[in-house]
Amino acid sequence: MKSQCGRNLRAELEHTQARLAELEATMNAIYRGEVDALAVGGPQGSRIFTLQNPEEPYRILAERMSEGVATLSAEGTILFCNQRLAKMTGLPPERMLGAPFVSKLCEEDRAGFPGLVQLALQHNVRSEGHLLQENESVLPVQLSLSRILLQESGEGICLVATDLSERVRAEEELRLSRERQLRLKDELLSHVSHELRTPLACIHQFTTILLDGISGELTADQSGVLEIILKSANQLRTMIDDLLETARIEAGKVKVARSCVVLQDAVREAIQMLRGTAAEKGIDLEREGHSELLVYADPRRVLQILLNLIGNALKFTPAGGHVEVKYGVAPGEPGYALVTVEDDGCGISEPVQARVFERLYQEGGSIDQGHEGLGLGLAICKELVSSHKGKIWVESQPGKGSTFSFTLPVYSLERILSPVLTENGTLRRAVSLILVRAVPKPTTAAIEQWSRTRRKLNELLCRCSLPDKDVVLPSVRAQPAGETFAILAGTDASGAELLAQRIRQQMKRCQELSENCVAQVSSQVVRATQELETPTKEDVEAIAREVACAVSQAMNMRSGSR
Amino acid sequence: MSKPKILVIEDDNNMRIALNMRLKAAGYETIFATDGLSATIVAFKEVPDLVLLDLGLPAGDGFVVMERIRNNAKLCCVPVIVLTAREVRGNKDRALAAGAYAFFQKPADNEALMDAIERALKGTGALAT
Repeated sequence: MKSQCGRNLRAELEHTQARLAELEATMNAIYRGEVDALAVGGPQGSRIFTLQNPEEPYRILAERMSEGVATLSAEGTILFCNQRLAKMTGLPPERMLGAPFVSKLCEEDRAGFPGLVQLALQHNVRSEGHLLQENESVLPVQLSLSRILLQESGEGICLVATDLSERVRAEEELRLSRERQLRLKDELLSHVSHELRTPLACIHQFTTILLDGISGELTADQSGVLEIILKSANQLRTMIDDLLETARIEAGKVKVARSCVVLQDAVREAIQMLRGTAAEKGIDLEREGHSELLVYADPRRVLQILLNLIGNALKFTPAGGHVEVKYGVAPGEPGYALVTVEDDGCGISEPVQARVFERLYQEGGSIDQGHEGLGLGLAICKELVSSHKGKIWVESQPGKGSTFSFTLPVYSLERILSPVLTENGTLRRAVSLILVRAVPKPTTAAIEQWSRTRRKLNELLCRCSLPDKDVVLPSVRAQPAGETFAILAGTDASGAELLAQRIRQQMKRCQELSENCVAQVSSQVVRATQELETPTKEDVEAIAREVACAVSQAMNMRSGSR
Repeated sequence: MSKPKILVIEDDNNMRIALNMRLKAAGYETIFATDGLSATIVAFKEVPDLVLLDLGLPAGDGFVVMERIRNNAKLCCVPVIVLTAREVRGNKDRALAAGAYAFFQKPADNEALMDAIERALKGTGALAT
């Protein structure tokens, strides 16, 4: 009995194993597509399952999908497309079948599509495009293409199109909301800055009233205390300015009013303003550079950049240290001037160097480092330099010091003429030249003080001229001493004479100038431009060249006919 | 020649006191208005030699005051110097275009402010050159 049972069991096992092997072979054959139909015996007799259309369940799936799906031939002809894709194009599905898919794309996307198909035959690709809709509008879609095998014709493409219009709409909404927020922030900051300035102006005004002795004589101690108040008020003012400036930069609202800047004068002015701070800390502050170098920049901005960089250098250099400002033509870039501010302070580590120009970055990440400021200065510098089409960077060795460098475009006459030539896009009627020929009085004092006098004169000319209409040109040096200053004014003969008159009066009023120099002020029209309502950029450039030529002639003639 | 008369239009009490001290010390006579409406009335009545104008004012913005001054035959030649805590951007160009002689943001550099006042007064002949 026992052995009978064992045999039966073994036979049963072999039978089952054989059935399993058969089933496995069948399954594999089905997977490989070698089986067209399957007959399965069961209690109700044999049933036949046809496998000719194995993708049927997938078709149902495809029809129900929220994405558009299509099968394309290797040439890009639509062999199958689901309801959704048809709906996306606005055509009935039967009009889609047999059409080249590329014809359903909008004009700009068509050229790239065959390439996309070729790529898809090698690996899956994704791309964004626009479907052409029946009503002439376009639908942004993401297209995913992958290779499939088609029974009839070998290779083909399975294409899935995802509607991106929702996403595009959401992105647009996000952008608008961000703009709105930036504007709100800008308004808020303007408001805050206004509210802060009002009391600050009072502190400033009363402090200077006391300091100027308007309400009585002060003791040295009292003056000292008031000086500290004034200094703090000025610091506060700088911070408010920085805050507002940053908000403006973020909102893309920074404006630069370019003119000709004598780089040496800007550096000298910045150093003059910081001389006191340097002396207090016992830091040696020096400058060295090319005295004639002119840059085409906004003088206020140049000063702002310099004050910021030199101020920083002083802040991070210990007592007894050394800060030097150098300026000259940028090596390898003759169209640019290079300014460097070098200190032998604590230096900046490499990871920090990469971040110092970021907003609100302060070394150590903390404001409690004993250094006042908001950490906005360098970020502002970077924005200002780049709005002048220059570059700014830092080199440093921790413990040895840092060198901050920036470049600014070198001045040329043509570059600066456009504010004089045009007003709101239309050409001005005339351009005039006011020449101030100044010679030191023949006294030793006057000759010795000439560089001071000429600076004073230049300042006076800048004060007399209108920033958006007139340009004070750099002086032409003449031998032995004395020089010709010129203002190019966007005005006609009578306007120019008025300006000349104003300069004469101002010079007479200034004691230092009237004591030390003799000056002749004259005006002339250099070009009467014909009316051009909307001059092109080329028109303005051509006229600028012409005027530049006339100006240099007039100035040479003047200094030549001494 | 009598002292030039300056109308200070300023709504901040402390600032008015400060400006009064400074202008008096410089030898000017001062009159005051604290809002846009009274500013116009005082200006018409007193015909100052110069107006120092704040922009943010109750009862009539500074620009409105400036327009009224500019459009009045008696006052159209009176120089107006703007002294405001408002932003330079936008306001300066607008003020100069509206006929302001100069624009200063608070806190202003006193030397430059006093210089502009003096120049403006000499320009109209209210101060001997």
